[in-house]
Amino acid sequence: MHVSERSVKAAFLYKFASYVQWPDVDAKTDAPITIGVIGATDFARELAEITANRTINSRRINVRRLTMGTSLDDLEILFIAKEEGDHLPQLLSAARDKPILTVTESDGALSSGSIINFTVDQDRVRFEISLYAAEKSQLRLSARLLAVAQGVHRGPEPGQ
Amino acid sequence: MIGIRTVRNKLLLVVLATNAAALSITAVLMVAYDLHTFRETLQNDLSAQADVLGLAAGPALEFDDPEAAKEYLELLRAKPIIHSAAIYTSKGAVFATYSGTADAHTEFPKIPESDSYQIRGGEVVLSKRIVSNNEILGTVYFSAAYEPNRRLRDYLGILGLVLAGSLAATVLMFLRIQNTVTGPILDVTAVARRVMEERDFSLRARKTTHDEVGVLVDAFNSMLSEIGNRTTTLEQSNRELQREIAEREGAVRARDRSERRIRTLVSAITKVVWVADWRGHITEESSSWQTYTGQRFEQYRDAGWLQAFDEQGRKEVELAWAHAANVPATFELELRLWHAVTERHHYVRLRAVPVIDQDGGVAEWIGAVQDIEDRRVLEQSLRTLNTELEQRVADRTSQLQEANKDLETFSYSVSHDLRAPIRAIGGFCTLLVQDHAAQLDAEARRKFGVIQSEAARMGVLIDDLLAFSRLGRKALQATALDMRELANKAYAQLTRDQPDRKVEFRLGSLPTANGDRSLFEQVWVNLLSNAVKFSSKKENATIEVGAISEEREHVYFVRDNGAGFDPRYGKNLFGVFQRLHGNDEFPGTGVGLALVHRIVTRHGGRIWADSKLGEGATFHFTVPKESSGGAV
Repeated sequence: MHVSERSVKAAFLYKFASYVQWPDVDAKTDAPITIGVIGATDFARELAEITANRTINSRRINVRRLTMGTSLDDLEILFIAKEEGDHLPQLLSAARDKPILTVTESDGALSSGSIINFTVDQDRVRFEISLYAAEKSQLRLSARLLAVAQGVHRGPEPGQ
Repeated sequence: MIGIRTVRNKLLLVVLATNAAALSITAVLMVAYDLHTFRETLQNDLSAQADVLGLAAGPALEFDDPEAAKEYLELLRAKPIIHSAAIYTSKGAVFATYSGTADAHTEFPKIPESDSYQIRGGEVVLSKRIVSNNEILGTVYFSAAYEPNRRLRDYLGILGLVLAGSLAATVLMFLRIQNTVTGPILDVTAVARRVMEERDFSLRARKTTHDEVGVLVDAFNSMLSEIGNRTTTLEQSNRELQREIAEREGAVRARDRSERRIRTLVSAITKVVWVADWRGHITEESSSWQTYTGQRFEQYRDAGWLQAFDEQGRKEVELAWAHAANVPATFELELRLWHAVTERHHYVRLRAVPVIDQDGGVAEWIGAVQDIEDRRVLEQSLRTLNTELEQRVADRTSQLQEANKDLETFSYSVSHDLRAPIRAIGGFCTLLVQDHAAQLDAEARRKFGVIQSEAARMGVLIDDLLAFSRLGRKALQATALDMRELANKAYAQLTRDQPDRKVEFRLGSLPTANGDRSLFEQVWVNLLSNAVKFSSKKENATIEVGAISEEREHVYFVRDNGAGFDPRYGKNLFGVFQRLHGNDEFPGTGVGLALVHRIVTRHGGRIWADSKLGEGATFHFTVPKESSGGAV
């Protein structure tokens, strides 16, 4: 059975929510987790399908398709597809300093300020994590997530 | 150690046993509990392990990272009990595996069971779902060793060690503290042993503690003193008992001896002895009865013995018995009993004595029969002899009285007839001398004078004899007599003719006597004339008259200090014509004292004389206070 790369990423993406702790989480226990997707329309549609009947810590999951210039407020997770790679630094900087888990799929995206970046290793989808960026965004990542990451970047990226 | 039988060892045994029992029970319960919970614990343990592993491996499954999962599984190497483990994906595919053993020939199930826990032989197989956010991520699979026996073995080993260590510690502790507990007890034991061996109850145990052993020591000591006292008392009472037993034995011996003696006596006795019950029935054999009467036991038993008496005797015995049954008392009868040897009835004396029992009733009768036949015969002949004798005496007496009367009549008539010739001789001599004086020479006159005086004396003698014989026939005329007056008058009459005689006459007071006046005048005249006569040759003659009143008679006496007489002839004094002195020495007829004797005895009195030759004489006569009026 062949699973498309995007399907795996979609599955991974919503699962990340389980290992992330947002600030002010107590105030939003009932509010749905909102995942914003920029760039990949099919991806957003697949993600919505996957998460339709699922909850994370009793919070429903809300998938929102975003376009450039849309406000990033009320987002918990922001996925930036590699189709939007040109706008990556712009988007990341907009999300910076906000409690938003930024997930990218572009090489070297971490150096642009992304928190989690998907990679492909021997046809398998992996990911790398920048703890530095997470801390900037006031997010706390579970050690268990770190354990399965392909790489964990603890300090600031060289480019920054 | 002196053996298991000391308090110390028993205590030690108790402590050890208690300890071992407590430990054993605890151990058994613990083992049971542990074995019971072992499985559960193992399950919980493995289950928790699976949970932890599942939790850790959750992200690996979620993010499809078998290596990470493999790394987690490798951590199980710290738990050698788990032989093998595996993680399956939610779709049932093997995700990662682990094998604890070197030969990696471990088999894993193709598709894991959902949550399960199974024991198969020596191993446990566990499957556990990995769930996160209500989503099944995969399954953890364990295969672990299941060895409860080994665990039990380990447990028992530990228990053994603990038990050994505990008991050793107990022994050590006991040896250290046992002296404080058993020491005083051992002291008491030592004293008790000495008391038993030496029998010395004055020993006392030393009290060193105030616990229960101290109380025991006190109790032991007080018990010792009590036992000492009791022993002393017991020994004393023992001695008394022995003495009493000795006395009792002595009494029993004496009783036995007395009984034997009585039996011997009864068998030796010639008398007939019998024993009858309260009704008078003979119940025991009596050999003496059998011998005497010739009755056999069947004949004389019960009331049969009465048949041996004659008819009169039988009646008497029945009568006496009827009376004695009412008032139990000894009775005695003289009866005639059949005597087998002589084949006739003999006179016997039957004596029956009741044996009184405790209630006062007659228990039995004991009797004796004595043969008095010989005595009765003797008595009979004696009585006959006596009667004959009395008859002979009476005959002889009457003959004598007849002879006496004849004699008195004869002597009176002789005396009376003699008086006339004597008077004639005297008278004719006087006439011859007066008428023929001139023809007679002096010699003839002297011879005629002798004839005259002898004839006169003869006349006096005859008068006396007449008086004497008259006395036997004369009746007494008793009146109260003043004896002093009679004596005084008689003395005055005697001495009237002899005024020149010097005699001291002492007349005491004399009691009145009852008698014939003329006869007692004669008594006084005769006794006093004798006194005057026999004291006539004394220079200072003394005549004393007195009397002593005794209970039944008056004793009068006349005493002189004259010639007296030889006492050997005293009893001849009062016979007729009995004279102790010659007529030339002291003239007399020899009738006077015989007359006095007769008068006194006729009045019921007595007369006697005391004297020594040359030292005077005393004549006593008595007159009864009550006149007897007796005859000669």
